[in-house]
Amino acid sequence: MFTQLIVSGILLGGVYALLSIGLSLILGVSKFVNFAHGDFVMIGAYMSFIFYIRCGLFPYYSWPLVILCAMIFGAIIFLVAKHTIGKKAENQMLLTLGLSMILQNSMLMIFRSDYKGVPSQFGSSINIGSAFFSQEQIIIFVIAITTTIAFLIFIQYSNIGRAMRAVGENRNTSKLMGINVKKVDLIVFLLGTIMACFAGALLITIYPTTPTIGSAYNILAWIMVILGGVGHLYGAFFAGFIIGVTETLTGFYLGADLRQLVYFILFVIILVICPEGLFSRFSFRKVKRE
Amino acid sequence: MKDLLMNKKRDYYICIIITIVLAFAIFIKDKYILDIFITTLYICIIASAWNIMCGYTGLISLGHAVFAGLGQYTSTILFLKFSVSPWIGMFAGAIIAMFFAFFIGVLTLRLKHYFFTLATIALGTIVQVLAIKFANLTGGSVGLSIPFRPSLGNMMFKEYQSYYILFLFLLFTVLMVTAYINRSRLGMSLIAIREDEVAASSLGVNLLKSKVIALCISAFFTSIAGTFFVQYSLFVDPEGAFNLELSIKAAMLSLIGGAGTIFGPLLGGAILGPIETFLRGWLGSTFSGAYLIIYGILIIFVVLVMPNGILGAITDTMYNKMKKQK
Repeated sequence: MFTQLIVSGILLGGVYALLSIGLSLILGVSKFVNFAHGDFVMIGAYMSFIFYIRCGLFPYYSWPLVILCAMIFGAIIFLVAKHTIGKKAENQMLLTLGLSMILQNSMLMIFRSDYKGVPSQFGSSINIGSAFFSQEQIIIFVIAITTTIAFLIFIQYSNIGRAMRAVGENRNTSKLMGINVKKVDLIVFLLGTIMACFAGALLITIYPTTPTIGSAYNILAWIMVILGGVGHLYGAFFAGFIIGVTETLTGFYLGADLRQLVYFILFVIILVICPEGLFSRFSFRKVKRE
Repeated sequence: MKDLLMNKKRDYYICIIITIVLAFAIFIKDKYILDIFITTLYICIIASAWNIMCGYTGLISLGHAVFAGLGQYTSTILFLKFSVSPWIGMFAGAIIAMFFAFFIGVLTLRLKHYFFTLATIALGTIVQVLAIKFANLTGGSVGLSIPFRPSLGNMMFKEYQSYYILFLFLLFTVLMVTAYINRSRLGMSLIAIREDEVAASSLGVNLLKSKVIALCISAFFTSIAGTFFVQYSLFVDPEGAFNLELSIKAAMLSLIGGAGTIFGPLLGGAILGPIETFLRGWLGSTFSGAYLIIYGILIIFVVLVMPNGILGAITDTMYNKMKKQK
C-alpha cells in the first residue's frame, strides 16, 4: 500500500510541478506577486471541460486548443497586469485578488457551483508489482513531465530563456544591455498562464472541478514555490513532487479533510527553519538576491 | 477655518462629530434598516482595525476573520460552558487573538510581505479545520447557538438600538485609537516602514517590534468586534467565523476608502456596505456572488487609477491646490 501511495503521489506531483513552475517563473522574472494563479488553473480546467462537452474532445486530445485559448487569456490578463509590474507588491496582490474574485464569481454565474468532471476514457488499470494505477494518471504524468522538462531546457539554453534569467537577476541592468524587458514580461506571463491552464486541463481528468477550487490551488502553488525557494525553478519542480507525495499520504492516513492542515503546518515549519526554501543551499548562487 | 483644519486635535473632533451624526440612527424604527446599519458598522469596525496594522504598514493581512472568529468562539464557549459573562469573555477572546497575532507576526513579519499574507491565509484555514475537528468544544461544523436570555449582564438586548449603541461605541474607540496612533511615535514608525523599510531601520525604528505591536492592537479590536457580533447574531459556526471572504472584504473596504488614513475604512464601508446589501437583495435570488464581481472590478479600478484610495485621492488633490495657491 505504501509503495502505491508513494508512486501515485509522484504521478500527481508531475502535474503539480507544472503548476508551481508557472508561478515561480512569474514571481522570479517579473517580480509579480500573483494571487490568482489557482484561478488560472481553474479556468484551464473549464476550458478543457468545454471542449469535452461541446466538441466531444477528451483532454488528452484537446490540449493544443487549451494552450491556444490560454495564450489569449494570458494576453488579456497581461494587458491589465502590466501597469503594476515593477511597482509596489501590495498593488499586485490586490489586483490579482480582485481578478480572482471576478474570475471565480463569473464562473459561478456560468457553470454554477456543482462539480464538473470528465469521465474516464480508459477502463482497465495497469498494475506494476503490488500497485495499481489508472491509465489517466500515467498519461497525464507523461504529458506534464515532458512539458516541464522541455520548458526547463528552453529556459536554460534558448536566447529568450537567457533573457528571462537576466531580467530576473536585475531588471535595470538587462534593460541597459539591450533586452526588451516588456517583451520578456509578456512572454513570461503567457508561459505562466499557459502552464497553469495546462495543469488545470490535465487535473480535470482525475479531480472534478468547481469555480471556488481556485483558492485551494492558489495556496498549493504558493506553498510549493516557497518550499522550493522563491524564483528557483528547479526547487519548484521538486517541491511539486514533495507536495504530491505528502498529499496522497495524508489523504490516506489522516483523511482528506486534514490535508490542508498538513500543508500549512509544513508551510509554517519552512518559514521557521529555512525561509529561503529547501533547495537554496544547493544553489550555486552565493550572493543573496534582493 | 484654516486654524481648525491645521489643529492638532482636528482628528479627534472629526471622530466625535461622526459618532454624534451616526448616533441619530437610533431613532430609526424599522428593524431591517437598523440591521443594515449594524452590519455595516461591524464591517467598518473590522476594516478600521485592519487599517491600524495593514493600512499603515502596507502589509496585507487576509486573516482578520480569524481574530473575529476567535473572539466569537471564545466568548460563546465561555458563556455556554462556564456561564461567564460576555463582558469578560470578550477580553479573554481578545487575549487569545492577540496571542495568535503575536505568534504569526513574530514568525513572518521579518520576511518579505507576501509571506505574511500567505501565513495569515494559512492561519485562517488551520483554525477553521481545528474548529471543525474539536467538535465537543466547538460544536463541529454545525456550530453553536446561544439561547436568547436578554439582560445587560448577558450582553443580549431585545431592542436593536442597544446593539447599535454598542457597535457605535466600539467604532468610536477604534477611530480614537487610530487617531492617537496616527500622531504617535508608533504611527510614525509604521508609516516610515511603509515608505522605506531600510531607511526606517537605519534611522532606529525597530521594525519587527512596531509591526507586531500594531498587529496585536488590530487583533484586539477585531476580536472584540467579533464578540459583539456573536451576541447580536447569537450563532457561530466555523464556515462563517473563519471566512476568507470577510477578511478580503475588510481589506477591500479600507483600501477602496483609503488605507493608512483614519477615516478611509469608514468611508469605504459607508459606500460599499449599502451597495452590497442592495445588490444582494436585487440579484440575490438569481445569483449571490454578483456583488463580489463588482468588488473585484472596483478594487482593480482603485489599484490602477487611485492607489491611495478615495480619501487619499481627495487629500492629494486638496494638497496640490493649496500648493498652487501659495
